[in-house]
Amino acid sequence: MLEVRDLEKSYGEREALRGISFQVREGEIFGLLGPNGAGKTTAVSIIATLLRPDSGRVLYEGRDVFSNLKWWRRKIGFVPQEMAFYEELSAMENMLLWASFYGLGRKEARRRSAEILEVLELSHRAKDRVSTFSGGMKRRLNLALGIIHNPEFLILDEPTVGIDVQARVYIREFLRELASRGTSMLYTTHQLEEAQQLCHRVAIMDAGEILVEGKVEELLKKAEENITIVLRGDFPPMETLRPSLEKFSGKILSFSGEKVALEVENEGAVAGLIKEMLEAGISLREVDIKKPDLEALFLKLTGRELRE
Amino acid sequence: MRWAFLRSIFKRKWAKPSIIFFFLLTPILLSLLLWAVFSPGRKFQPLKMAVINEDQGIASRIVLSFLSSPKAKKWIEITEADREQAFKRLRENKISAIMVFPRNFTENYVQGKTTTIKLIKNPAQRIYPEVAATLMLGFEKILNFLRAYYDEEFSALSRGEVVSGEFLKGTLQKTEELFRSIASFPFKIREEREEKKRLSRAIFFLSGLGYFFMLFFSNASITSMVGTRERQVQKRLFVSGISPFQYSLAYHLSSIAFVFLLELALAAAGWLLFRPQNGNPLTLLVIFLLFSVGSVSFFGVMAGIIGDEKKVNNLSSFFIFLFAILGGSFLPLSALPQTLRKLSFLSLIHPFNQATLRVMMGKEASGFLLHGFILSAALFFLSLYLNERNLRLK
Ligand SMILES: Nc1ncnc2c1ncn2[C@@H]1O[C@H](COP(=O)(O)OP(=O)(O)O)[C@@H](O)[C@H]1O
Ligand SMILES: [Mg+2]
Repeated sequence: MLEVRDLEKSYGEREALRGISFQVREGEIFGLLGPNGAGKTTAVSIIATLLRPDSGRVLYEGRDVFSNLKWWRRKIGFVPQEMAFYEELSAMENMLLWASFYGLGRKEARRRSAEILEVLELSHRAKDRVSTFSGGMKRRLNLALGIIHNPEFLILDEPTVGIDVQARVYIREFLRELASRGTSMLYTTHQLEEAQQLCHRVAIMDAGEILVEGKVEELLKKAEENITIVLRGDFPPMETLRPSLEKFSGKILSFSGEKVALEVENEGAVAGLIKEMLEAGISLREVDIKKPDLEALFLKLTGRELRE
Repeated sequence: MRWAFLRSIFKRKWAKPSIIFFFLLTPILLSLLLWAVFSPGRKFQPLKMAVINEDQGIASRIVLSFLSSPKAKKWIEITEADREQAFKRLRENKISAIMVFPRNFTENYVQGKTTTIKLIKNPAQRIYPEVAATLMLGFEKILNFLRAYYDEEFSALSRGEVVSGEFLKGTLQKTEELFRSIASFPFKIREEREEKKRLSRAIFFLSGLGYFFMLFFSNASITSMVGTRERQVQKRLFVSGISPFQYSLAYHLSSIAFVFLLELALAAAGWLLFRPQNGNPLTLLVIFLLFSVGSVSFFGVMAGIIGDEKKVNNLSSFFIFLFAILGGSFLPLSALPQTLRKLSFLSLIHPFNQATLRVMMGKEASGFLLHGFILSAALFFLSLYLNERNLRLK
């Protein structure tokens, strides 16, 4: 089990992590979900021992990973957010190079490399220079290199950014299969759908903090508790609007002259609120009733929408 | 040592052979061009001499008749003159030498005493007076040979006896034969001298330009270590158990090997083209190796201090040109202004270029070699240290 305790990290004045804690259990896919700049990469880099935290600890099986660097690095596979391989070499050469770092024998290295490239549908191009690969192929190779040594803990930082839906689905299937065979995973993404479909448990992050954490089903249930709506139009000042808003709603999530995000109890309240606004002469351009998903939950928690 | 890693990053460097080829070809083509430009296209000036003939006998006549034959006239111009005239022309630098046949030249010759043609060289000229001197030596040899060959006849002649026409005919024939071999001789001298000059010029340019171009390779090769893409790969390498020291060492070594091999390729091309006579290959190898270490490490130090490939590259071009100018890549050091020449020790190219040129001239180069060795070793360890430190876990 991986245990992350109160990690804090600043880059100069900018606080990237303000004390985050979570746990990843054995065989589990744990998702860190958050918008760009939330601090996901920073958190993952610390866990992969590429950065030291300002404070806080990372423990695996109860041992501090920074005090047991070699031991921990042998256990993990790491798939960084950016492509990390040598484009001037072929896919196979890259695989064999990384295999050599883990002391895999020549034969074993070849066998495993071929196997992984096959599964990730790269074997027909295994001997080609990686610089000639498409974006999706590079993403898959980036992933392949992280699992050459069959790690027991896999750290993936947005491994599906910038590739087509098909390849994304493919990678997701692959990871699910890997997890079913016992590999634990820490998976970051800013795509709620991905987190929802792949992860067993999710922590939603924003501005260096974890807002909520739990099983995906539980979080979805939380999202269902109320209806989240976003209204766009030309609104009078908050004070003028407040009485009618409060009459129907539980909570104002965010407010600006052009956009209001609200949480309301039921659909009847939505209808009532809209009717009252129109009667008050407010011009509404758009009424967006959110699906009860992680995006709605993020909106509830932050007042902002989690955009792709 | 992580050999697999070293091998991989070394292999990467050859990914763009066309660029490498182009960069190697440029200094070779340039030095070939310069070689051709400096070739002796201008017309060969005949050797101009004045003759003071105080002898007026048969021996001096033999020589002079050859010198005024159509064959000799192609490359030698003689005018008979009296002493005063001859020296005047010499002072005016109109002739390269004065040839003097002393009064009793023929007499001594016929009697079998040693005879010498006196030669007065023009001190204002370098090559032509030497050609004249060698020529005189040749004449003397021929005359002495003839004297020995027809010893009986000459002895008879000296006793005042009448000699047969057969003898005179034979003498002239032999003389003709012997002089013919001399006729082509100054051309050989000229060609050899010019050739040597051209060759040393070509080698000078190839060496200087070669080091200049090698700096570009060194820079590109090592500073990619602090490039954005390489930084991404580093993350994965470190997580995979490569230590910053192993990484830094392998990166340096592969870059050094890369530059060294290119240097060898360039030198081999130069060797084939210009076929120099001097130059101990082993010493040259040492110079090239030291240069590869030094130049790669110099840019390694810059990368270690600045830490960003683009910024390093901007500064590198400045240093490369500075080093090339101060190191005598474009112009020989002797052609540089005094102030610049004094600064040449600052150039990374300087000790290696000088060592190469000295070795190629068959001279001793240990001073420059030592200079290069100390410079390269210091830069190497500094670069290794700085880059390893930057990569350590923070
Ligand atoms: N090397 C760095 N130097 C300065 N600021 C950084 C650096 N890396 C990240 N940041 C900042 O820290 C915050 C978190 O970044 P990051 O961890 O990359 O977020 P995410 O991966 O969730 O997009 C952002 O505000 C980002 O601008
Ligand atoms: Mg990120």
